[in-house]
This record gives sequence, C-alpha cells and structure tokens, in this order.
Amino acid sequence: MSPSAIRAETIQALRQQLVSSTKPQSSQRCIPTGLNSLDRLLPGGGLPTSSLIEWISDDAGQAAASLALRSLSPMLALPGCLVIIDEQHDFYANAAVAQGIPLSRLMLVRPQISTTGQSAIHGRSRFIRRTSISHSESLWALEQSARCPGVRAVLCWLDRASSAIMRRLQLAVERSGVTVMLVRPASVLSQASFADLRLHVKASDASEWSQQPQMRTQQQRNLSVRLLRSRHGLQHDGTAHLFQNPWEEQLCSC
Amino acid sequence: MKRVLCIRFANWPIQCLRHHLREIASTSTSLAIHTAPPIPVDDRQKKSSLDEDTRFIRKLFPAAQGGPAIVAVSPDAWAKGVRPGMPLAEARSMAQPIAVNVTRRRPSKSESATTAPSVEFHEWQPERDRKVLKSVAELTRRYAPIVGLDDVPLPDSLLLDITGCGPLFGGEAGLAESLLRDLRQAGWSCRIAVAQTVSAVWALTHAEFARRPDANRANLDRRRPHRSVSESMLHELPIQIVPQGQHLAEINGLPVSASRLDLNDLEILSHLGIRSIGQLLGLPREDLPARLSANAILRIQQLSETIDEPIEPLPEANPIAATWSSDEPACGLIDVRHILQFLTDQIAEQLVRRRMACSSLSCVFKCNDGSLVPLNGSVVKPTQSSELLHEVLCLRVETEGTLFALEDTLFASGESGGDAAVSEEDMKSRLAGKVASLDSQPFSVASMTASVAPIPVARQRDLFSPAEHIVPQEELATLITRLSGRLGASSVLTVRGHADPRPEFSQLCEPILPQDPSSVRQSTLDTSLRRLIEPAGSTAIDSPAMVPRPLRLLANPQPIFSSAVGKHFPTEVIVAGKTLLLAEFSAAERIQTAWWTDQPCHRDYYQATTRSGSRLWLFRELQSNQWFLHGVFD
Repeated sequence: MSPSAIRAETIQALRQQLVSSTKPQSSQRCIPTGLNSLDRLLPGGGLPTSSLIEWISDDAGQAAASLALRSLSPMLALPGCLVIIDEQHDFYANAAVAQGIPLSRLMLVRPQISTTGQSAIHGRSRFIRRTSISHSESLWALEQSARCPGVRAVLCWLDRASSAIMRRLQLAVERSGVTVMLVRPASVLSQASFADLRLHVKASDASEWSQQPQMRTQQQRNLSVRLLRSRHGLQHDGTAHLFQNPWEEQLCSC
Repeated sequence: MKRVLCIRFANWPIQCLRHHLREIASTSTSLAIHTAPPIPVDDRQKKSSLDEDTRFIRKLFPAAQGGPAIVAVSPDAWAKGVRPGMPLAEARSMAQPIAVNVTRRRPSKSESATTAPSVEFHEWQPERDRKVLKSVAELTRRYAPIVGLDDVPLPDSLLLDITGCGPLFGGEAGLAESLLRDLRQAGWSCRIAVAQTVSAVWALTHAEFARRPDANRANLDRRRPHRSVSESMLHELPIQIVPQGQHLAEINGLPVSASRLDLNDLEILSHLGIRSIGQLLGLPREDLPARLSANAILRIQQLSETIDEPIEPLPEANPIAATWSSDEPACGLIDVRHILQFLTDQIAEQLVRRRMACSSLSCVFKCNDGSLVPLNGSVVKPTQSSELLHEVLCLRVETEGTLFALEDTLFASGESGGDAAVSEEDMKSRLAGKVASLDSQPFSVASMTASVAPIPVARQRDLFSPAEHIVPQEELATLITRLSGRLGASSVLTVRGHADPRPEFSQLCEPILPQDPSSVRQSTLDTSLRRLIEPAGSTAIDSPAMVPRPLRLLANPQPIFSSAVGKHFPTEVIVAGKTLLLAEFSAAERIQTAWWTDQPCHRDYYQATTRSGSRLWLFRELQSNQWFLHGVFD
C-alpha cells in the first residue's frame, strides 16, 4: 500500500473516530433531573449516566452541590449506591435528604486526615485544604468508586486535579457506567475540561446592599445555571433559572 | 432434596457439668445447677450486660429474677425433690436429709449404705455450655460439610446438613447409627432425628414421645407417678428418620412448644387453645401478625416451608494458617508483597480444600531484632480469591503509617485465631514499647491466620436482560473491601439520622466493615450491602423533617473574629481563605438543649447571605454572644 493510501486511510479512521466521539455513547442514558428548565438546557433532556459532570461555582455556598444532588436523585431509582467523597469531613447528610437523597443509599468515604502532613489548618478558615495525603487518598477513592459498577453516582468536591487524573476518571466512567459529579471552584474555568458536561452555577447577587447587614424576611433564592461545555454539542446556548425555597431547601424549576 | 440431621443433648447443662467433673475426677451424680446471684446494676446497664441465655432463664423462671434459682437438675437430684425454677435456698432445704429421731429407729447398715448422696450445687456457666457444645460439633465434622448450632436461647442441639451424605455411610440410618456410636463413646447422651427441614428435626428431637404422640400422651399422665425421672428424661427411640415429604405429618401431632416460639407467644396460643403444631399451622395466616410476634411468624413460615432456613455453620476449630520462614532475611516492600502473595496462595489453597471462605486475615512479621509487625485485612464478602486477599493486604501495607497504627489492633485480633509460629504471650511482651517498620527492618518469619466463613451463595449473572437489571452487589462489596483496606474501616461509612437537636450530633456515621469482622454476622453485612444497592421504594425519604440545613457542616464551629458583639451582625466572614461580605440575615432559629445535657447548646442560628449570593449558616452563642460559622449551604 502506498504512503498516500495509508495516510488517506488513517485520516478516514480519525474522522470516523471524531464523528463517533461527538455522538452520545450507546451505554449512556439520559435521565431527566426533574427540573424542567435545566432539562431543557441539557442535551438529551437530562443528565447522562456513565458520564463525568462538573458543577462550577464562584464561591462556596452557591448551592452547586445541592443542585448536583438534586439532579442525580432520580438516578437513584436505579440500583447502585451514591458515594460521597468527603475529604473535608464536613458533609451533612441530613441536608441531602431535602434534595431527595435517601440516607440508606449513601456511602460516605472520609479519608483520614493526617496531622503530620505538610500543612495543617491555617488562618481562620476551616475550609483550607489540610494535607496532601488526604487529597491523594481522596483522588484514589474517587477513581476506585468511579470504576465500580455497583456504584450509581459519585459526588466529590475537587479543587485541583491534573489532566492525567481527569482522563483516568473519564475512562473509568465510560467503562463502569457510573456518573461522577465534581463540584469545583471557578479557578478551573481556565483549564481544559475532560467532562461530558460543565455547568456553571451562580446565585443571584444584588447591587443595592447597604453597608451594614440587614435582617430581612427570607426570600426565595434565585439560581442560574449555564451550560459551558457539552461533549455532545450544545443544544441551547442559554441559561436555566431555578429558585430555592428558603424553608425547605428544595430546588425548583422556574 | 435437602436433608437435615439434628442431635439433641437432653439436659445439656447437667451433661456438660458431668463432663467437667469427670475431668477433675469427681464422681458425684446428684447435681443441680443454679444461676448466679443478680448483681445490683442500673436498669440501662442490666439489659446490655446480661447475655441472651441469662435473660431467657430469668424470663422462664421468675424466681431467678430475685436471686439464684435452679436451672437444671440431674435425675438423682430430681428424686430428692429439687426442681428447675426453684429458688436455691428452697432447693438446698429440699436436698437436706430430714433429721430422724435416732431414739425411735436406728437405720440399718444396708439402709445407710443405700442412702442417696447429698445434692451438689454448682453455678451455671452458659458460656461454658456453648463452648462445650461447639467442641462436640468437631466430633461430627466427618458426617456433614455444614455443622451449626440451633439459634434459640440455651442451645442444646447440633444441626447437620447431610444432604447427599447418606450413601457414604450405607444410608441415613447407617450415618445416624455411626454418629450415635461416636457420641456415646465420647460420653454424651443424645437423640437424633433426620428430616427435610430444620424446624421439623428440631421439633422431633425436642418433643417427648415424638413417635406416637397421642398414644404416649394418654399414657404419660397415667404412668408418671410410677416412673422414675431418669426414665422420663430418656427417649425411647434415640434415632428417628422421617422419609422425604412426610415430615409435616410427623410433626402435626407434636406439642406446640416444639415449634421454637417465644414464651409470650406460647402463652397466647395456650389461651387460644392451640395445643399442637398441626393446629398452629391450621390457623389463618392473615390473622397471625396481629396476635403473635415477628419471630413467631418467622417460625411458622419455617415450619410450613414457606421460607427456607439455612444452617449457620460453625467455624472449624483448627485455624487456617500459613507460615513463611527463611534463613535469608527479607526486607523492603517488594519482598513483603512477594511473601504476602505466597502466604495468601497457601491460605486460598486450604480454603478451597475445606470448602470455606475467608472473611479476615491476620498476619504477623517477626523482625530480626525481635520486634513484631502485625498486619490485618478484612473483606466484606467472604472469598476464596487469593488475588483479592493479597490486594487487600498490599493496600494496607502501602498506606503510610499503617504499620505503626496497627500495633494496638493486634491484641484485638488475637482472639480470632491462634498464631502458628509465635505465641500470643510472646507477641505481647515483645510488642510492648516497640514499633517496627517493614520498610526498614529485615524479617525472617511471617505467619498468617485466616478467619473462615461459609462461601457466600453465588449470584448468577443475568444473561439476557440489560445490564441495569443486574444487581452488582459483589462489585460494591469489593469496592468497600478495597477502600476499607487502604483508608481504614473507619473511613468508609453509612449514615443515619439521630434524634438530637444539636446539628453536629444529629447524624451518626458508622463503618460498614467493622474493626472486628467476627463480631458481626455475615447476614448483617449482606443486609447493609443490599440497602445500599437496592432502591428502597417509590419516594422513601429517611427523615420526615426538612428544616433548612447546610450541606457542609463544620464538626467544630469556626469563631468569627469581628467587632460585632451582642445582637449586632458580623459584617464579614472568611471561607476557604476568602473574605466574604455579609449582606442579609434571616430571622433567628433558636436551638437550645436542656441544662442537664452533657454539652448544653443555647444558640440563635441565622442564614446569612453574602453580597455574592453565597449562603452561610451562622449562630450566636447566647451565653457568650460570640458569633460562629457553622456551615455552608453549598
């Protein structure tokens, strides 16, 4: 076979791979989240199983994790447990119940926090990363969970991860059928994404705040979700608007 | 078809005591066993400190609640008037020979020679009884692959699964005769029954005159005054074999007390006029749950073969162990992995040969400087796979600090099985104050002991359905094993709610795999796995209350250092190293506990919204007016 023929064949094969990679995989199945405005935004009308999904928020407390839990709760109608990788040991499971997660399906993985690590608690914040040892153990636990067919979904707060780790996660979910949801800070927006879906959650802010904090009757909390990236193409370049009832924490669609 | 054999040791506590007395060369035959005097403890402690057998005896004999009472008596003691359930003081007075006025009549030499000896009273030791019963089970190993105890209080029977074993001994009758001969030679008196179900053989061995119940019962009352007690305690037929499919007809006429129901349920049935198992099985099933306990319903279902009753096997007495030793010492993690592979291969080979599976492994490395390094590993589902066992131990080795931290666990795991190479005492003395690391210390001896368990029932893969229909319980079990192996059992948890107003105490996290796997039954672990895997139902929510709570809750509230004091709100808070300006506070939610609780809590909680829209959970300590960050509504 001539070199030109080989090259043409290679290009054809690569083209086929490219096309096939843009189509949803046969093993994936879209499950509606129950939030209509979000479902309208998502390709396939729901979150795909066997996928890697990133939920990004600018700050802690913007309900990205609540939204992730709310949207994966319909997946728990299928067999398999929900694994929470709780590196910071601060996950409060009773709050997950409000998002439709049954506690009986929850498995909590809390790697031991070594006090002999290179960094301990600094400053006044509890949310500073403690040790690199527990972080590496969390990454290991995340990958192991993502590889296990007995797991339906994994939720993990992941600040930093190398491309190699993300690629390994991507391969793991494709093989096992597990849905991995990562709650990540806005600092990763500049990095390349290996996720099937990348969603940006933002709570509404107002500009008319007074200098001193005020006590107000609690209003509903408005959230907006933007679909930044979809491996299977963007269906709508829009934003889903949601609100959160202040007394029930239940997320609802506008 | 399944065939089950039951060996019932009549008057087991007395047989046990006689066996013990024979060992110390005592020849007394007139024996009575009594309970220990109750220890005055708090009611809450009482329930936990008492074992199941003692609780059952106190329920059976009300006299045992106030003081020591008789539990069992030998025939000679019975002849003296000592009866089970009698207070010890009364029994002692009954056993004392009545003082006869010697002036009236002097007993002849022949009379004094034949006078029965006085009754010896011994304290009841239920744990020893169980232990001896388990040791007797070792005598029956060659007759059946699975030997177990009956799961009722005060067990006095062994259950053998002899399915397919009969032809090896010339039939079931030959097997039963050979077994009876062995047990009699060992000094045990017993009765044997063979039938199709556990409940049937238990009923047949525990009901007197099982062969012809109606006829015998009619004769019983007539004959009782004239019969000696020893005769009434012995069964006329030591072996009873019920052909296939006829067990229900055999047990229908037996008294309902042979159905393993609780005492309360038996009392209810007695009031209803239900006397025999046949009458019990004839009751309409739909009415039973309203009248009887859940245990009674289970027993009735087992009697009627609605549900199967497996025999919980007893682990074999001789442990499965392997040892590695070499003149040339090994050192380093690569050598450790190779040696672990060698040892787990040997363990797996023994497991396959004995048709058992391994639930946990305990390994000890003996370093050249005399120090000992223990290494333990457990699996969720018992396995024969040397690869999985090797992986679990290697994950443990790889974890930094594991080898140091496991020093204490050695003593806890020492009960699970003896160490072939190094005695436990030697181990304890050498470990005291010493810490060793396999990475730096050469070692020349390594020994491994396995805790065995029955092989779990294989779940057949679904060939034709889509993958979603397969319940991948085994995969989850392997994941939990791996995670627990590397991170430690206390890192892999299940969560359940706890009724406590203080948020930090309102959820309980429990390890899925316990530190000591032998303390938990395999069925409990299977249930935990099934709950994790299987959807519970339509919309089963565990907690009915849905008050707003943050998804991330600090175990220790973080104080907010601010100029704000008292009822003035703080203006900023630091979260994840970032200063957030607070803009809005909700109305207060007061959480307060009573003053007599251990850690009283008097707090006003607020949902605070930052200028960027983040929501935090803050509280003001009412006593000190100090503000704290307690959670983030992430």
